[in-house]
Amino acid sequence: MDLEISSTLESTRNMLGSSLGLRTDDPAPPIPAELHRDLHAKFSPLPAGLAAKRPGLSWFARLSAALSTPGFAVSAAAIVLLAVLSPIFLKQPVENFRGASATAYHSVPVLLVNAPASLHADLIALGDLESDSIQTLGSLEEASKLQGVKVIVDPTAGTIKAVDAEDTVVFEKAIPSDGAGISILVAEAVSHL
Amino acid sequence: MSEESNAFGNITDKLLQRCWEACWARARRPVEGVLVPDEDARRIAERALRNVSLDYDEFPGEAEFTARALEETSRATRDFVAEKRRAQSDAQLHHDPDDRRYDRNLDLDRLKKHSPEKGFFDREWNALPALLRPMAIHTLSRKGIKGPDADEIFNDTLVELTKDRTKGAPLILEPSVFEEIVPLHTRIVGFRAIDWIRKRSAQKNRPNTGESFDALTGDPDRPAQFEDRSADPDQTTFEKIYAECREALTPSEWDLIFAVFVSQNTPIQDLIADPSFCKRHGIRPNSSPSTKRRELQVKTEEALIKIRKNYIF
Repeated sequence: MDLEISSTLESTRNMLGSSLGLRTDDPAPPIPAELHRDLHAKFSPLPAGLAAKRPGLSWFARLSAALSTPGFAVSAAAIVLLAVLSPIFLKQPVENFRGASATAYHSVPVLLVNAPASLHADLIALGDLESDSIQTLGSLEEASKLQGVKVIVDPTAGTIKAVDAEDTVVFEKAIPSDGAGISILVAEAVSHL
Repeated sequence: MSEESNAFGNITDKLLQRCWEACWARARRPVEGVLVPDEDARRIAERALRNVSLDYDEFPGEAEFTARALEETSRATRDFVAEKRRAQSDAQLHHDPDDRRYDRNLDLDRLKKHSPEKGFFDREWNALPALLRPMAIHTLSRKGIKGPDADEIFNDTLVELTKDRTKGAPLILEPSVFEEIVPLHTRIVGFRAIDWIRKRSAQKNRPNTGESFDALTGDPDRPAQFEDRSADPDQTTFEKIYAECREALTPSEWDLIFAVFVSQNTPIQDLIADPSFCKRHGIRPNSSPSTKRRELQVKTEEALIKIRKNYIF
């Protein structure tokens, strides 16, 4: 049942009702899958269960923990350096309505294949990788279909691979058992792309 | 029900599809009379959505996001059509074959040519009065203005397209594609008609009869549509309404207006049955459906009144 709006507001209501200009005789196609995925990745907040799984650590606590482990300090510094420099190395010119010379920066997607939800949350909570770049996929086929450079983390196969734009595996190592180890190895994989 | 919800900061598959459909439709027909091929419309709509998403860290709400995306889509599509017409020297490119308001587009770039000495001098201007006159006479006739009065108003509106304005360049320089001139001119005709009606009491003795509309077209095989639907209030775009009334409504009111009147995807009974929707809009979720409906009605009417007061037709 419709709302009973005052007759003086009918014209305003009608104006709003037709303001999107949709036509039944020329229906829109479905939203492109890649656009749908990217907009979801940008705007969808983490599921509450995942976000609450691991309380956020302060930068000081995270730094202390990293420095307290032998060998991690150097690795952490390398990760920070990669995080800062990789967008510069990986920048691709993209045609843009807001100026022909505009460029877009893409981080290397990190694809978690058949991984438990806790691993996704752990990697985000560690803060070493951009949360937007981490995606969980249901199968290796889905990961293979994605074009371009990527890092595939496959707990089932027990490997972390770096795949370049020509679909060649340029780096492969056995997956560590803990999140921090995976994060470091992912950064190393990115450095090979 | 939660799938239909468009709470701030949260997006659903259906919300994204709605937004995509609106942008694709705008890219396909950015202005009445322009029809862009499906493939180009998809590309432009996708690029516009990606561009607008870059401006936000969090989803701003469906109304604002859709309005911004539509604005970007419309502008980009008009620019795309204008560039292609310019590159191929074909003013008729991407003109909707179903548009029967007039025979052929004129060359907008030539209409815009201006010199300080001669003004708008291009010969393309010779064809513009004949193209606009039937639609203007029809609009004026509907308002009861005919004969010499209608012709006088029509001549004034042509001058108004070209004269310098205190707040900017002449109106003829604003459109990106020729099809935009028709609704622009129809709006000017509407304003001048109101002025004439105000002065009518002082001009009682003038004859107010005009020619038949059959005489306005010389082509019996292709009867023209004199009516310019694109200038009707019901043809107003959401991005224009949002731009003009944005400050007048709260984000919550825009959320309400968009869900109830613009997207119209969810029946009212489903909206008021959704606790999160009720909470967002201050409707008591434990009330009876009829009470919730009344509360919703009061809130939507308040928001509609604000739009009515602030939107300039």
